[in-house]
Amino acid sequence: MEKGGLGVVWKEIRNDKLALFGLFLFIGIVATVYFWGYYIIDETQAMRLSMFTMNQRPSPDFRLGTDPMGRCMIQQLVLAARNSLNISFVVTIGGASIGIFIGLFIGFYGGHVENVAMRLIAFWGMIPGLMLIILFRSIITFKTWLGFSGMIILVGGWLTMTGLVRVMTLQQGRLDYVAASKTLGTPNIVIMIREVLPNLVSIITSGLTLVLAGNMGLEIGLTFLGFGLPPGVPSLGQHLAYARSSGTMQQRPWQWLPAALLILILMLCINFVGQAINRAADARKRSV
Amino acid sequence: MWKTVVRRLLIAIPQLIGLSVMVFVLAQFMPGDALRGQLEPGMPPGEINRMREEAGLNDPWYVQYSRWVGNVLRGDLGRSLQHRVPVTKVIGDNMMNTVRLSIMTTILLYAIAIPLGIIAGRKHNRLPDKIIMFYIFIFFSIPTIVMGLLMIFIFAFHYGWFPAMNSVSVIAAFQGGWAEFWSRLHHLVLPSMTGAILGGTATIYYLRNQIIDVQSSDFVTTARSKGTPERRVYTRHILRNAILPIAGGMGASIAFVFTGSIFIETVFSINGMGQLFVNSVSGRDWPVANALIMFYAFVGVMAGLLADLTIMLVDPRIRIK
Repeated sequence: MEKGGLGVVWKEIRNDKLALFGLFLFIGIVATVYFWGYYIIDETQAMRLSMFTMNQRPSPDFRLGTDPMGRCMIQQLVLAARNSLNISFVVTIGGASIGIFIGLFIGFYGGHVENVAMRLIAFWGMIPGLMLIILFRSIITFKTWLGFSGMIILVGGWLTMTGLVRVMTLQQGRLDYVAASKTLGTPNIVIMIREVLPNLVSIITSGLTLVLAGNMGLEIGLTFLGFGLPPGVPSLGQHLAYARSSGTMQQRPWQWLPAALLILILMLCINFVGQAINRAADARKRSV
Repeated sequence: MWKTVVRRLLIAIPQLIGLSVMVFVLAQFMPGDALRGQLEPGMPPGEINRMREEAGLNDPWYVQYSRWVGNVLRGDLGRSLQHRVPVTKVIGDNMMNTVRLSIMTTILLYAIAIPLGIIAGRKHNRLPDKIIMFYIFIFFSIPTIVMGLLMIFIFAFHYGWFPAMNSVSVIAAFQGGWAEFWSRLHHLVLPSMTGAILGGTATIYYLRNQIIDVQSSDFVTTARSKGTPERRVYTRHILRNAILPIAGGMGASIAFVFTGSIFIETVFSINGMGQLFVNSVSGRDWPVANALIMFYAFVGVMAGLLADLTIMLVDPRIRIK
């Protein structure tokens, strides 16, 4: 871990054609979805129910057919992807910020702080996270996706990153440069943020891709089970939930299959990039 | 070794107690309760209050909690508010489906993962390895639900090879005997394959890396230089060492399959514990939900312990520590 900035990460991605392709495809999809979802589609218009166009097959009017409420599936898919991506990004960034902060703190101070904190974290980690989220979700009805994301962050979103950063900080804390800074009288908080943190950048980005993929799966799973976003809000999980009725699954695949394939492509892209970043984070595996 | 077991169990006890208090308090905030669903038109207005009183729902949470703990210690988990039968019976009815699914998934998981891991490790950096790594990569990326839906769509609806839902056909369940057994097995194929393929990726990857690592260790070089046939080097020297951690992970793996079955059970409409949990939370049937959370947490603790114990048993170096 002698070098660990974003430069190494980028070099590793650039050298891996699949990762580079994955990165551009991912950015392309995300940009399209956000631009289309926020600037081209008129959301109130797109969400309007229409009795006459219910469950239509793909046709020149509706390239991907219509959903059970008679709305254009393409627009629904874009809005769904937009909402799902929103949640995944917010949960990932929020959870990572909290996790990095706690991990740095515990790993840096070590000793009793670490013992107590690890006990608490072990307790929290023992709880089946999915069940707890379902329980919370059944108590509180979230009106917006932001509240829902916040709940996921608090219940389990910070755990992975905390563990990762703690271990790495423990290693870094024993190195000479930290001791040297301490001798010079640099305040601990400054050492943590300005000296230790930059050394963890590649390992954090590697963790981020893993967490991002996980969070996307989580939103999809929760909404599929009926404990995610409220029914009126389109999301990729909601599209998959259409397939819970065997009639839809068999006879109207256009209502759920595009969402399933989109999820698949997004996940593959994230993991292609993640694999390259993983190599960058581990000096022994680097190809450049 | 027994010291470790006792210590781990003692640590787990306050954790489980803390969890039960938390779940209990959370349950108090649940809007609505199961009794509202049981109201029938024509009941006298005081009826719901009388029913709440009878179920003890009007007491403060700590009174309810102490009563619940007392009952649990006597082996009584309470009554399901939704089904009006003891919680143990509701869970017991659903448990076997989850157990069957877990066992089948674990068997398939190792049946797929061990050969693939060995091939990938032996043919390191050659074509078979590359194909298997690609396979790992694809299935590592697919969320369980998407995989399950695609499996149903392709193998149940398009080809019609396997049933899409439930755990046994009505006729076979009525006939009993072998007919029931085969029907159950037939119904288990798709859900357990889904779980095994998705859950096996980590094992394949781990076994492959393990074999590559062991291949370059000194005792393998020694074995080769004294003229041991290549087959024997693999079966006796490399595999034996590489497979140890996998054996250690088996306990944890079963528990993982056990707790991870919520999605698979929902996608394939299997009446298991995961689906029971989802239904009891939606139905505000919190005695069942609470019991299930505690059960899963307990399984989690035990699996962690089991995993550590197996590793201690198979690896003398850890035992000494």
